[in-house]
Amino acid sequence: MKHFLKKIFAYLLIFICFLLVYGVVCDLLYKNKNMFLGNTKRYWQLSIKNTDYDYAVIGSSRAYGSIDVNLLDSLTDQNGINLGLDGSGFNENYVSVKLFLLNKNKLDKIYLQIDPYSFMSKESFSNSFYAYAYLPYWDSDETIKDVLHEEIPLIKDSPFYIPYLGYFIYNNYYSPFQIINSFLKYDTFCENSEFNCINGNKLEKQSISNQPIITNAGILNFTMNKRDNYYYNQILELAAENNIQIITFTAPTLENLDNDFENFLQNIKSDIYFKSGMDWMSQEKYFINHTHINFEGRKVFTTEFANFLLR
Amino acid sequence: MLFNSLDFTVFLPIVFVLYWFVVNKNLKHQNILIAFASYVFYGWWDWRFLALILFSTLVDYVIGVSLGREHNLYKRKILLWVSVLVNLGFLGFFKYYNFFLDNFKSAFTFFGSEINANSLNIILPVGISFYTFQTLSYTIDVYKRQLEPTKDFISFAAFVSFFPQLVAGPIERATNLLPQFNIKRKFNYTQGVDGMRLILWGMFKKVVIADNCAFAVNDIFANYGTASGMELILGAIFFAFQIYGDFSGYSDMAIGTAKLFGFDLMINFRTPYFSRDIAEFWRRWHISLSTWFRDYVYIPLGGSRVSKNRGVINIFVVFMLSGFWHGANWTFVVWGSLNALYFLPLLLSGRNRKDLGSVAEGRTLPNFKELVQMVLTFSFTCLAWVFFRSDTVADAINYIFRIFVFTSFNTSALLSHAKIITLISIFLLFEWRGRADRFPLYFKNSILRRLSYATILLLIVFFGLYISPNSFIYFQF
Repeated sequence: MKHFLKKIFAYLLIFICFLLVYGVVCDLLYKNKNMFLGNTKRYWQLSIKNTDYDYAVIGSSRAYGSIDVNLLDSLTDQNGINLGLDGSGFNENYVSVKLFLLNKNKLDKIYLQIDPYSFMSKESFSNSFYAYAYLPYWDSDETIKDVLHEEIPLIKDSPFYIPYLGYFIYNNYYSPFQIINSFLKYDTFCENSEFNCINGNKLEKQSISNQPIITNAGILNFTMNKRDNYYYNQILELAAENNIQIITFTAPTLENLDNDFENFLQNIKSDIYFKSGMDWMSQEKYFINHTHINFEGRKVFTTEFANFLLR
Repeated sequence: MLFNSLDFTVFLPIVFVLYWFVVNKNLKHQNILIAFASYVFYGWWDWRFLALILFSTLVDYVIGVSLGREHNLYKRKILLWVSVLVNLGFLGFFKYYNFFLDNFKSAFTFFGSEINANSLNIILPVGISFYTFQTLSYTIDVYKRQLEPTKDFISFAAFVSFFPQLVAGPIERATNLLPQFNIKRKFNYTQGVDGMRLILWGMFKKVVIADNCAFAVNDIFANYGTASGMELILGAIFFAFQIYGDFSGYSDMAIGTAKLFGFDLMINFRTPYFSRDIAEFWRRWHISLSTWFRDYVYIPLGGSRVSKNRGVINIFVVFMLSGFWHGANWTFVVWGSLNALYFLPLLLSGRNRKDLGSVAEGRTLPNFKELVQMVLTFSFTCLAWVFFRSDTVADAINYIFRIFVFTSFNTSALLSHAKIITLISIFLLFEWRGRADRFPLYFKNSILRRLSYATILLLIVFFGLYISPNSFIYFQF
């Protein structure tokens, strides 16, 4: 028995040491500039450092696809970036803005997309927070650590955070192949990406979803999720701490935003809110599906938004 | 509790330490600990169903003791039938009630009349098919006087609920496992190392092979209407490896865990995909279930020592029952029937017990004939697996139809699944090397042995899937 236990402990020790070293190597690699993984916008955003912008568009795919940064910049004479991320809730928006600022980037304004979906993220998104993408930054800030602990069940359940555990659990995204991929040239990555690598704008070359447009979409039953509201307020607080002005807006939808949400809008902390004056419900030609506008719709909406900002 | 969960990595060392360092002096205490740990293991999933196991244990214990005392054949038969009815009654209710009800309703609707009966929202107790068959084997063996009934309730409870194999087998025979609870157990170094080796190999099969295949399989089977011919073929092959990795991985971990406690469980899989015909496949696949059906259904029906017609019926009965055992769906019955069809030509030509040894015994590579035989057997097996995996029989037929008729073949599917194909190739290399041994990871050369451990560990670290650990497929059976 003694011999058996000795052997098991020796193997375990070697294994844990290996994982520890692997965890440290991953931390170093993935935090390094341009060492982002895969062709996703999340990693591209995390690689931006020491850059000044007049504004950033924040929110889910509805923010990403509804504001044309090139057009908005030309109409308002600003220099902006679109940080909208597909399938992101306020918790991810908060983490991404926080890291964006921790990377010594500067912002004057945030155009934050709000709608019933983002206040009901668990019900609206199939995966509201791609937490694994932020693993290398788990110890960058206490609040980020808190969000990650909340979102990654295995880390949440373990008594303390083990650096390599994340890379071990999410090895589908942090495999040795990804490390090799991450050495790919930045230019090659940008050529193949579905967004503009300078300002995060969604590129028109991106294929448009074949989802059918649902006409006469039903009225939403808005029940605000406390957790989403908490992170929404965290974003507002973060902006206030960094003297960033927040302007909220709601992207067009074919779905009726119900009275409860309209009432809720009266009580939220944001000073400036923009909602399109157009009757989008009768403009199906501008939609990819009932919650996302197409590139034509984006031009119309961005122009309307620019006029609102210039007023 | 899943073997590939954090809970189990805490649970196993605790039970191991208590077993060998705290209660090691007393056999009874060791059995009490095993029974208690097994109930915790099972109750972790849903403690309410512990009552079911306890009841089953109690009934079979009492019937076993009564059978030991009773000499009147009529009364003995009644006792046996009580056990069969109680055990199969539970199984029938939890697993097949809704299936039969829905089919009766459909049949009545077909003939123009309606019956009003609602399906019940029944939770299928994990592993019910496994422990039911295990306890049945005890009663039947006692009835046939092949086994002395035990008077020790604790060791019987530990036998029924033995946690390594409680929820997904191997379905142990009382004649093999029960006596082991009555023998003083001493820790054996070789047995312990073998156990750890099997746990490592089983873990690799589960989290690397089965779970990676599962990702591709779920996607391909969900979208088979738009997938290319090559993707559909890959989907069927990946499922073959998913179910093999999943189930044999669990069996290996179960056998390995049992070894850590000084028990030897029966081997459940012997490299089945290297079989040269379907009869050999069934001697190598889910051995504990195949032999159960052989001993308790096929042989009592007369086996092969009957007329040809009766022999054919017996084969169909056994294979269809085996299919039905897997789940309450016609897809499983068709899967079983298809295997019976594959098996019949071998039985009728008297070639069903031809290839009893391992393929290419004493050689490194198979000859051309063996290779063709293995590829053909594997292809037929994959075809049957399509029925096993599909939601409905119609889906399975459409799936197979699309492979041959509608879709064009392309190699891009191979490239997009390069990772899984590479992992399966590595797995097959290990399996091929260890096809004649009981432990694929065993190398006589200590450097090679350690290298093989390191390779498997690295593959588990880098390619295992851990996000919300996937349950084992056979838990649902």
